[in-house]
Amino acid sequence: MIRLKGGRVIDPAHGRDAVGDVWIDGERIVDAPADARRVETYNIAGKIVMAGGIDIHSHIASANVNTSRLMLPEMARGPAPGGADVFLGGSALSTFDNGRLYAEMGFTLVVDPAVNPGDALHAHIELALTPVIDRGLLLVVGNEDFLLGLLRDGEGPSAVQDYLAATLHAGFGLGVKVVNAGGAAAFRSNVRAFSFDDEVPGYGVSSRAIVRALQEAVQALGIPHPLHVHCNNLGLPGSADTAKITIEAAGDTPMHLAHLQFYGYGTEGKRGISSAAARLAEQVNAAPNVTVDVGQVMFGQTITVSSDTLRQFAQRGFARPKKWTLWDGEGNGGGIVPIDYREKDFVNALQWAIGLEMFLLIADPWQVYFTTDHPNGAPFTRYPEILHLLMDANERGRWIERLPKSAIEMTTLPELKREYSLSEIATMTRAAPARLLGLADRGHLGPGALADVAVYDDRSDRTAMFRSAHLVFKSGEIVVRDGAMTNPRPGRTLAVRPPPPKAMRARLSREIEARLGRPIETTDVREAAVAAAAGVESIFEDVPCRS
Amino acid sequence: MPETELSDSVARAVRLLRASRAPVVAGLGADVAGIVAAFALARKLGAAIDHAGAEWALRDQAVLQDIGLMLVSPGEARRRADTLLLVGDGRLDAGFDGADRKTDRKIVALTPRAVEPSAGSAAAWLKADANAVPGVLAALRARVNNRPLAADFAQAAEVKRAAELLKAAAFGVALWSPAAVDTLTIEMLTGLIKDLNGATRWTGLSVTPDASLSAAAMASGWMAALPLRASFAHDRPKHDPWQFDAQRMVQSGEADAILWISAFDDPLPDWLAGVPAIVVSAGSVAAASAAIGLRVGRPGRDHDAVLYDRATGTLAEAIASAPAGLPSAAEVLRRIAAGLDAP
Repeated sequence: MIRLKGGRVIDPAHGRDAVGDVWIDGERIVDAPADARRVETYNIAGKIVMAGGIDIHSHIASANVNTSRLMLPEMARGPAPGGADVFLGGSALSTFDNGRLYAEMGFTLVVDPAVNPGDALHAHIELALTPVIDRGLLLVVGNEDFLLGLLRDGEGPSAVQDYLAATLHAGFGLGVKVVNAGGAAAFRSNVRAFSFDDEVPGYGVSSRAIVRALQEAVQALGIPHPLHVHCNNLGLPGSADTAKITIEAAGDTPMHLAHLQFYGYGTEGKRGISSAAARLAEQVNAAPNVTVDVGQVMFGQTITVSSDTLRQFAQRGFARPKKWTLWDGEGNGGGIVPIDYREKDFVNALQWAIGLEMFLLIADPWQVYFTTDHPNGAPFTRYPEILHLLMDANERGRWIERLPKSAIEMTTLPELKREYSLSEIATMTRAAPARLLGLADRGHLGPGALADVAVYDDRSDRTAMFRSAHLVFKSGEIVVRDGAMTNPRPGRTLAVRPPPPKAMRARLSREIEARLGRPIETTDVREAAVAAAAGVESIFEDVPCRS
Repeated sequence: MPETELSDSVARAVRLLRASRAPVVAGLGADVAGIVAAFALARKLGAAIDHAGAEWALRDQAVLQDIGLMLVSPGEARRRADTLLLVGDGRLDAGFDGADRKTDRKIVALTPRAVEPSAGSAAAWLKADANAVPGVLAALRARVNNRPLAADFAQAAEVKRAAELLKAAAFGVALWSPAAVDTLTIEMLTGLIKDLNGATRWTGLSVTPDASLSAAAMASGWMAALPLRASFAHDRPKHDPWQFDAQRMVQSGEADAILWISAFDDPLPDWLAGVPAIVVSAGSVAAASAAIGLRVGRPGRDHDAVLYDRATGTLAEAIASAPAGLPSAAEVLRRIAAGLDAP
């Protein structure tokens, strides 16, 4: 047994914020035993104890991510102020380093939000090679001819449900995402702008109809994570209106909106772009069925990786350095555009401020999730600085001083004095994401929870505190000491697998045979194949559907 | 290979690699499991790593890194392309004869010989030998952008006609094989594709000359976060297409041991004889000049394997067609790695 003794235990799922002990037996957290023997005690008085962090939206494994690694490897590393060679930005981290760097910050579960079902095997091999952390992936649907055909032909909700069940079963997804619904399909027909009520050429199906059908199907199947929506018009001035009508269209049904910062733009001011964060936040505050993650921007070199081919093509002129890649895949595809967010750039400074406005203006930390949309807003290695900014208004003030006044004046950020408490941070990065993904035994420190535990030094320099966890336990095993990974044990990949309906499976089989000239089994993910490719014994852990 | 012989060969391989100061892991003709195990072994050894066909992959890679590519998955290309542009090789459309074949597809060829297309009808032929391809392609790009050609350009009329065909496409796909064209040609072609997207939809498909090369180029991304031809000899993995060319390393005497992987039984290069070698092969290892031979199964025939699939453009599982008791390349490489860890 392991006893974490005398730390400040912050466990918002149980309303706990007090000095005490956390006990671990095997891979689970347990109540303090009456007579414990062979106890390994870690004296952590003065330190902060939280459940392991959970990231619901980070592009760490897919064909697109891998292409982005190969597109910008030369800019990923360079000298830090002290002279040491460090990761600077972008996505050029190996699967090994992705696992290591997340673990060293105290994260124990990361979800890649954008895997094309046809590339699920590739993505699962990458995830299986990502050590320490547990993983999951969301399968991207909504632009493929098969689904568009079901909707055009009015086959009804049960056909869409059957299709999603078959897709999740074959691809071992943890949930379903839609990216610019219909937009990638329209782009293949040379459409260059696509909004919520526009129709896909050749199908007469609107983006709204696709989103609504998928949202209802996810609910009907009992998939814990609600439909994960990447709206139309990402990054455009006025995109706040797109987010607004998407939220309205959700009705009372759960919906998750990804990287809301990239939709926080109004059209005011002489440059025609302004912050709409305040009114979007107000709308989110009034819509308890809606959750969002932020997609915070941080200054520096990174690369944007997205299945939104239409928008990425439109953004190609903003590439820094000047190169861009676009892939038309089955259904969605990918666009990869490097970007160097600059402090002195009006729009970049505005984006940075809008992200923080959303964090600070959305009242309930159970509703807003902590992401940079890695690597799109910033690489995940910048998380410690963002936590610092959220917890310290003076730190925000220091950053604001360096930025163009004209940009900051477009925002409410200077007036916002809110500082996140440690308990709110633990809610946003632990308890809430576990609940959103339907994982009852994660994100908290109650008896029965998986023993994923992060222990931090309580430092006023929150950046330093969250960069290097003092100790991290994964499933009860110690994996990080003093900010360095000590044990690259293999993690597990979580998947929701509704039973595949036979008739739909047969239909998809014919479709794949015609499209690829391959039997449907070619596109299935088999655990044995992933395990053999990655050289590990087992991979998957089932997450049940809600009954 | 009986177990005792295998154990003995693994032990000899471990001894050779332990004694080596500058090993290189190369060939990399393997399934994804074998390639992943090779990268893990190279990292453990501090070795350089290279694929037999890396030169070809590096042509596409250079363009990806310099300006970025426009690509399409093969399934989408087959389904949607109303126009194909074949560059350098007239047989690149051979994979387009699927069930959903479009017979009204227009084929524009920039090739040494006239083509008899298998996936549509020949609409224009720009005759160009290998060394003339870049020039004709540049002329085509100029005409697509309504820029004039030199007054004495011999194929001006054909180029103009071909440019009109390209611009008239609703969804065009340009095909090339990096084995047949060089980096500058791929870059010019990519520029042409990108220009065409100003008004219509075009994209590209690099037809791989070697499925294991495509798998290795992908795995290099996730295993090292670098393109092929990397080295783990220093604190951080390093990539250099010239420095970590296995043939150059062996012939210059820089490498003092090589581990060559050929699970698809591709012929072994002559220059392997120049250095102590461990050969992991599905062929007859006894016949090789190798100091140490390790016989393994052929992926997809002797054992299940994840391979790059040309039909889908991604990784797919190939179930063993004739399962045999031979170990996989990955198993043998992991045994060597375990041997290196043993005291």
